Amino acid sequence: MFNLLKKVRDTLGCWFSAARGVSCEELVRLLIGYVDGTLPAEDRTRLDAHFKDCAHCLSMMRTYRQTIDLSRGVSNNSMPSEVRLRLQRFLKEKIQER
Amino acid sequence: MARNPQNTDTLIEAVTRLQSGDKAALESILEQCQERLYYYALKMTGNPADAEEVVQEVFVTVLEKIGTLREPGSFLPWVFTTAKNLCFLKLRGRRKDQDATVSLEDYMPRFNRGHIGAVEDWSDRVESGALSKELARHLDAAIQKLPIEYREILLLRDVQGLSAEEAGKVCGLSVAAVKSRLHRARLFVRENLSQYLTGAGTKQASWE
Repeated sequence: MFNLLKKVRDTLGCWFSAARGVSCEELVRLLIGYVDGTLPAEDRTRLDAHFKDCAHCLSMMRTYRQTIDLSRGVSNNSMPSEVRLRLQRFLKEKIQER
Repeated sequence: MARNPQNTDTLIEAVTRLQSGDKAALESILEQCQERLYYYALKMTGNPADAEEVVQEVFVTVLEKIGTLREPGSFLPWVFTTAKNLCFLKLRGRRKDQDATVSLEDYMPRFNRGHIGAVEDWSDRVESGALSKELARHLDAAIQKLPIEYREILLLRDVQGLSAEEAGKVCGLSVAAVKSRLHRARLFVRENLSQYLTGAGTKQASWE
């Protein structure tokens, strides 16, 4: 019952928000500018208003942002220590050759 | 790894020192760049041996051609352009079906008359920037599955922290094209992480 009410609330919020300005589809299209901080202030305000009414788009924005944050750490410790050692040896030889 | 302003300053200093003939500066550059170049080359070629060779060749280029770099601040776009060209040389001659053949469209959000389907918020389930081994493995696999023209942009922009302008220079694309590809790449990776973190079996948020 609670889930059904939540679903109805989310859906109605989403429809009201779209009627007032930006649709979910447009919001997702503009999300990159919103998250990267390059969106004009007027559009940013429209998206902020939509987030207040639409839980799904708010979830989309939060998980989109979290995806970027997680990506930043993915290359750490990816290089095996033996590759690191081989590279150091290789470059020492190259420097000595020159 | 995002670009840390402090690291970048040290990197610029090291590049400047190398340009003025101080070979010891290469060690500092190596320390700051080897990991990120290796990961980039590994994800681009999908092959550890190729990635190792690419990193070696990039550093040989750095040693031999550092004098041709006009702005030390452009070092990262310069080395990633070199790395990118070397990766594509490695990829040349490989059968196309060895590369990712996934359809991005299957992983994009779905809309019904402009309204999005249910989206679960899993952002609180992982600490910002905190990657468990298991999550890192899924993220890694999602990046590897991206078609290469999207993968290279996501690697440069989000993993390596290059600006949209710098990523555009490396890939020969306009800023608008970089943003367009990056957005789709992020949505693809986000959906892959969603499936893992929420245990959802569907490929995209569905309209209910």
